[in-house]
Amino acid sequence: MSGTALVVRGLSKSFAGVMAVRDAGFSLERGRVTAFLGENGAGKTTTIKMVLGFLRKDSGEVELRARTVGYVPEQPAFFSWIKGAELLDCTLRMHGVPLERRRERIATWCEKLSLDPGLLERRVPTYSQGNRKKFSYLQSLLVSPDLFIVDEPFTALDPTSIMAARRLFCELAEGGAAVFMSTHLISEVEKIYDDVIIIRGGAVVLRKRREDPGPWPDLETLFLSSVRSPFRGE
Amino acid sequence: MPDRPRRQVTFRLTWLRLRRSPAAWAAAAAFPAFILYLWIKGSYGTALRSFLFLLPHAFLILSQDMAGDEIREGRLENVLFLGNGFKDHLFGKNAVLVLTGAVYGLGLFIPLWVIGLVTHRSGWGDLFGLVVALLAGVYYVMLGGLLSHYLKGGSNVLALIVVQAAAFMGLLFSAAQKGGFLDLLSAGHFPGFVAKLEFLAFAAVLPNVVMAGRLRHYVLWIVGLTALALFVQWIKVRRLELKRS
Repeated sequence: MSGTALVVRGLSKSFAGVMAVRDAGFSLERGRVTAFLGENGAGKTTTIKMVLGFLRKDSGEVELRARTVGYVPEQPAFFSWIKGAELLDCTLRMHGVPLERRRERIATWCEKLSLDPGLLERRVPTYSQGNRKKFSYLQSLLVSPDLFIVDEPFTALDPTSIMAARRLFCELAEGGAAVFMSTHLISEVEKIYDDVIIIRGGAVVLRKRREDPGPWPDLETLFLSSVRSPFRGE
Repeated sequence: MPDRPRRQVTFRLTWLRLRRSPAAWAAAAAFPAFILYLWIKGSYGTALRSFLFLLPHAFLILSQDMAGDEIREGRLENVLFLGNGFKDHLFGKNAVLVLTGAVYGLGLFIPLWVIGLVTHRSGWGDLFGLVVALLAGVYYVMLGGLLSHYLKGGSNVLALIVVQAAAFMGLLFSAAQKGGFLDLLSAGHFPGFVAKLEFLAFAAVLPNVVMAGRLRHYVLWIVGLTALALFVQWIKVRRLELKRS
């Protein structure tokens, strides 16, 4: 499957007069893994939250062409009273997945994510941080997203799970989904990215495909050259 | 996303929360026990009147921590609530809580009322009392929901109860004064603008007061306040952004 899953044009947002995102524009293609890089406070999470509708945009346009969207926040939080299985049931019910297929789908993804299915009978906030992250992956993947957005995909995951997550992103992209990940871990992204978008001071300063020619030997050099500022003595 | 599955999810999530809330269970059990106690120790009439007077508070208990913590702790930043889903969810909770309170209230009222009807101690007029009590309950849900956007945890309910206690104390102090507010309340007549205003403010804090026979026409004031609270809540939710604290 090819085509565009998301188009963002002229997106801007300010908080109390401080511009967090300014005139950001990019598009995400299906079948590709896009890395969204930027320093702390560059506006990555704000951009993602505007795309998802969690924050209002001051101006700009978000054109969502994907049918279903998956989202894993950096630090997932869940209702304190709900068990994992109940939340998954709500998710699948909302997406019209028939009852008989729900259990099978959950079992398949639990295995892929190395998440103990026994945990699902417990309330989600009682899980370890890593398992909460995996549960968030599970919840999002169950809906078969064709746009998968992950904020800091590797936070709280152990090295084995990081490897599994990398493999997962590639599989999703091969399956035709657009994968959009915001992260600081350039070394991990380097192994799997197809496209890269770099944001600095709220503005998108670089959009590049892996196959595009350039003088940079690796993603880290590309990132550093994009965010380096003569005003900060770097 | 179609509206129906979204509504179902809101219903299920809200219902699960209520089902697992020890405070809700304790209140749900204590209320009929108290009414039964009044019936045994006092009379059927006292029990029925007290039931109708206190029923709105059952709605108030349901409305504790309706929105604030979910927003502040980032629980709504979930794949279930993408787009404007979190807004629909927050607004839809009002309906679930009102429905739950109404079913609970009716479940207790019907047997109580039927027994009274059979033994000629209640009448059809009590049905109007029930409607007024339910309307006051709906107001509590709207007000509790609105306050929970500003106050943490269950303090939306606590704050209202503290204000009610202060208003009640003021009422008691006015008992010493001839022609004071308590006298006006008993007479159901408020001469002058200030007295009327005082009553309207009192009813806004303790809407149960309109259950008193001479004050029942003030239920329209409660309906108006409900509409206002709902409107302000709607504006608040419409402008809402999910920012973690």
